[in-house]
Amino acid sequence: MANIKCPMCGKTNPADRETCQYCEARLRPVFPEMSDEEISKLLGLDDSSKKGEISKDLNSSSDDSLDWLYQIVPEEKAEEPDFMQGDEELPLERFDDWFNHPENGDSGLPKNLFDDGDVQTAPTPTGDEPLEPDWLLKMEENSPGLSPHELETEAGDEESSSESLDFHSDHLLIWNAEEGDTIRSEPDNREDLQGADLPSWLEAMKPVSALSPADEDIPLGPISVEGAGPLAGLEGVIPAEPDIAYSRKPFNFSVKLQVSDYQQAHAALLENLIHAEGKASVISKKEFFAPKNVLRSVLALLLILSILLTFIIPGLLQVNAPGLQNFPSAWAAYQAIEKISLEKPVLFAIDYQPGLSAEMDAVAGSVLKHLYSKKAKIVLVTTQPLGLMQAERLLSRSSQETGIQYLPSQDYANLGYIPGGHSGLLGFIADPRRVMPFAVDGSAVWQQPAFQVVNDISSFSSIIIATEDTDKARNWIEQLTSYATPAPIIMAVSAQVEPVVAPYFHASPSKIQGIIPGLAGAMAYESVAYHPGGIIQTYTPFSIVGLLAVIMILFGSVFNGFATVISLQQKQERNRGDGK
Amino acid sequence: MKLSLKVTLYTAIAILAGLIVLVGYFIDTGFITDLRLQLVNWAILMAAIAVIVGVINLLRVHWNRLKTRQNGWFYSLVMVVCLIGTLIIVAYFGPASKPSMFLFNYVLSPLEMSLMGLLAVVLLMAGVTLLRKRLSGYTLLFLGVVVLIILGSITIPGIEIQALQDVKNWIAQTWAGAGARGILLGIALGTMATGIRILLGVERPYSD
Repeated sequence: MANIKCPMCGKTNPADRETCQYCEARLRPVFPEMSDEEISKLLGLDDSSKKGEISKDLNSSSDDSLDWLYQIVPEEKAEEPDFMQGDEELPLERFDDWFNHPENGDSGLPKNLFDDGDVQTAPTPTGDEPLEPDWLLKMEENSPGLSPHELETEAGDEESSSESLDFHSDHLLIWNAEEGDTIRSEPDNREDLQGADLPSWLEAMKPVSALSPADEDIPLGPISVEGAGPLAGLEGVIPAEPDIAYSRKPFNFSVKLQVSDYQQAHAALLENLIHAEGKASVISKKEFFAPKNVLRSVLALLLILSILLTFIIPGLLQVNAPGLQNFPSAWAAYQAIEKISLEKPVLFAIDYQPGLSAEMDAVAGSVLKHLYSKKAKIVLVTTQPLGLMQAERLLSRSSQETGIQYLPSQDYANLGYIPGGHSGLLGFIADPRRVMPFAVDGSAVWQQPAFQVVNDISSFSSIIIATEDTDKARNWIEQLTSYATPAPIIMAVSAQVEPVVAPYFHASPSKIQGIIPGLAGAMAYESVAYHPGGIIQTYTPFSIVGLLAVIMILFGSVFNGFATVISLQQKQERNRGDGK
Repeated sequence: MKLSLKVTLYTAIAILAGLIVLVGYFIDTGFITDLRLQLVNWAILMAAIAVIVGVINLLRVHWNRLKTRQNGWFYSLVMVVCLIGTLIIVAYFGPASKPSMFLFNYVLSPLEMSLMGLLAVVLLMAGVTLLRKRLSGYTLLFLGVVVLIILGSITIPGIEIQALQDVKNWIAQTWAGAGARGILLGIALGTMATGIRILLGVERPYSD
């Protein structure tokens, strides 16, 4: 059974309920089936008792009910009509006659009853003037067989305004019926007139005839009183529209798109793309000649064995240092450091991670040993949190290798970590004394005799940056060159950073004065700057492992390449066989 | 979009500070330079405090994991113990002292270098099996460049081939250098665009 939706609150109620269980609004109409007669009863138009009440009110308090008529009349003209001066009751017949025949004009009502000042009232016909208007007289002349009423009806078809002001309609005076009277049509004093042929659209309007009292008496029903809901206690409440109180199953509209196969194929393609977007692509497993872990273990063992072999038997494989002519930037760095003034300290930035210290210690150590050999004073600084420890270790190793002891605060000062990234670096370059006033051992570094000469960044004889990070290398170069420091800038970088800093070296004029790139560059630099150094101990296993790696890659590539080609051919043959 | 007073204030401060620091690059007068350095020093100070806050937050997160016995609580325990122990040792003895350097030389540095060694093995494995996974012209080109760069970066025992060095330098200086210049130009343009957007108040990363 269908549920009923409350028209007031919209909530669903059981079908057998009269009122809403939530808001007490009426769910069912007072009159479920409403005919024209019941609608008339509902509106109270044919209720004799109601009509009687209305008429009684009108008669019993005629003075009060007609106050509105007096208010319309100006005060100086507020003369009571004849029927208001006596004790006689309101002559409804005269009132009715006046409405039905306003052309008579002698009903006793004030002439300005419908004259509110703005509305042009029709001139009252005099006895000399014909009662019929000119247009009606003309039509009578043209149609001598028709009665005046028929002629008037014909004219009414052409003039809708005259229809809307039809004072002959009976329903206008329903309200002035006396108590006990039944509603009946006004005795037609024009019985000879035939019914008018109304146009179809006027017939369709219907309410006039539907709501007008019928010729026969209609028994009056009881006045309905609303018993529930917010309108409880009111009489004659129009019930809610029954249609909206019942929830209906919505119509089923077809949602099938009228698309072609071509469009459907594209839609399916788009749908697949969208679905595939959120899915990780499955990498198909390939068959290897050996399990992956075994291959990985074999490769690792070969690398480790080759490294150990160079340490166990140092003279087994000897490699020569690469020539410095292959590294022009390293040669430029060497020349720049050779020219530095020993009266000023060198700023050395240690900006690399411990994980890459195998390469970077060799690169930075080659320059540091060169500085050691020149007895240059060094100020160490870093933008890595672990950089100060890297610097300490590098100093220690360089001292061990060269046999030259560098003492803190006398020969070198480790300023430690500069926080703040780019801002910290900018602050240090702008004012080293202010940003880093103390060394890591707590000493006031700028008060030491070896470093008193430093007032700003240009006070250093040279600036050397050791880093494996392209961003840090770029940051140092750009911040330093913005201050146009006269001190030469040397970059001791890993091989992976070299292509990024090389444009600064090859620029005209050069932004940096030298690059020591990677282990090979450090080996070449050391071969000139400090010979014999310890980098050869790192460079030899590096070369052996590199060569081994090349052999493995070539061997594996050839093997896997052929295997892939063969498997592809087999696959093609299988496909051809399936095709046949 | 309606800006609140707070956002407007933040934006005004950021723009003003950025303009002062920027103008300091071009105008080297006493007042501007001092003001600029003061702003930069404040930034350094706040960055240092941010590092401390980060360490405290890390400790708090792992402490909560340890307290609630979540999965991997044992690793959190190791982390908390190591953090507190290292902090005590370095703070008491100093960052350049022998105990601190012992921790660095024999714990931290070997751990990180071992990871890099693993990376070398993994990369070598990838190079060996690359053609098995994808056989194409680009793969062959990639492998050829890798082999040439490695051969140019090492010295083959007993053999010295200058052509390998020349080829390696040509690849690194010409091809890689051209790519690096493009990257640098892109970074410069992006930095300028971002700086202008922040100075104009279009971008407000500080007011989120």
